[in-house]
Amino acid sequence: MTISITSNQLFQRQITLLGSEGQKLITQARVLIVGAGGLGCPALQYLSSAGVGEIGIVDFDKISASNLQRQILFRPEDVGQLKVKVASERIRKHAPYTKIVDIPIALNEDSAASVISSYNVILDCTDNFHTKFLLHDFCFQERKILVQASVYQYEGQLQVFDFRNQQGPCWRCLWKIPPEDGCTGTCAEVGVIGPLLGVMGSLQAMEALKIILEKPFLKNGNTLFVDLLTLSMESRVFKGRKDCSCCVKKDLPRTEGIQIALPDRLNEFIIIDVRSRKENQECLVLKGLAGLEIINLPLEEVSSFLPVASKKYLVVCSKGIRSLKACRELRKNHSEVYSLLGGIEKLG
Amino acid sequence: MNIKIKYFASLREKSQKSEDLLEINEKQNLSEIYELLRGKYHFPLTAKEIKFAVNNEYVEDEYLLKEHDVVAFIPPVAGG
Repeated sequence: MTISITSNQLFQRQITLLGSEGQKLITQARVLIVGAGGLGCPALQYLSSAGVGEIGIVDFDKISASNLQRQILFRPEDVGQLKVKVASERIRKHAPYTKIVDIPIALNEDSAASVISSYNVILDCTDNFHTKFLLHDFCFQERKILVQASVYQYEGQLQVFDFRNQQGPCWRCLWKIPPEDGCTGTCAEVGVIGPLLGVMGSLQAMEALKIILEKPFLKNGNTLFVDLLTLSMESRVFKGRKDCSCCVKKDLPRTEGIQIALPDRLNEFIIIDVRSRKENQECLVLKGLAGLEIINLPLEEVSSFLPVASKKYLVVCSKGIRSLKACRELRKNHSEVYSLLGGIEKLG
Repeated sequence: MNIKIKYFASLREKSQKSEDLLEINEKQNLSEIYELLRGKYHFPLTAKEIKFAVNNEYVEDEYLLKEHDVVAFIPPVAGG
């Protein structure tokens, strides 16, 4: 039996509180959740239930039995499956007005800019310093708002970095030398209490909603400390550092200059589609582009391609990840090659 | 001079307490106080690997402490 629920019925309590204008802002929002684990699950549930227009979920990990105690979207029969796949299937069923995008990859220097480029608010629900700093730096570069949480046993920390104007204080003002992974215990090593993830993930969802609704949210340079043993919430403030490598010196991740957003004069470029022949032939976006020179050069054939010295090339794929890889290969022979940030849909 | 110490995350785990009351001399800086407590509780992290906060503001090692200051020792946290 199919039950049809209108968006007005679904969001009635929220519309009473926020008005239809508020609900419209939520519907138009695009949020990226990086990490579909303990923090990511509750954040995803609340944001999709609120009717956020699009939510991307990034995670390469599979569900293990030890996850189930706190990652409450998952069930015993899901063990061994990809977290993003199970999470998105479940969320699609209870949030019919939210577009869910699965991104089953590990975020790295090549993929980060493309993955975050089309979202307004980024939730850091990851569990290691390397990815947290990577995400922080790319959010700065791409002028995004980052909502970051971390947990330890019974305690959590929450920080929000609004980088829309590329201003600090940023996380590197606090940690001039980033902590090394392994310097402090992980959830696997020291244990963690389940409800803490519910509280911290919900706080991330709440900050995201405040950002979307244009209400005041936690400012740059504040850390909110949550302790579930003593039921305390305390805020501590840090100042910007004058020699900060990120928000002052802007020593940004290495992909700058290689990845570009959609150029104004697209007809100056030859477009290289590095997806498979099948993907290329079925692509409606490319079919809609008239008068442009388009080459289909699957990724595995890129090394044999010889660019023409007088031409400029724009490399595209579905998300901007394969195109960046191809771009790096093509740049060995020619400097005027760029990867389209965010993938082929940007051309549509 | 009397101050209050607050422990977070792995430091609380190791010391098995959230707070300590401590009498210090006025010349002791934050690193020295931390290293003293590190010896007592066997904290794995050095003073350089953690952050200090006094009365809800992160501060550097050279911060001059006053009577009844509340000092927080904050190790890095990344779990998720």
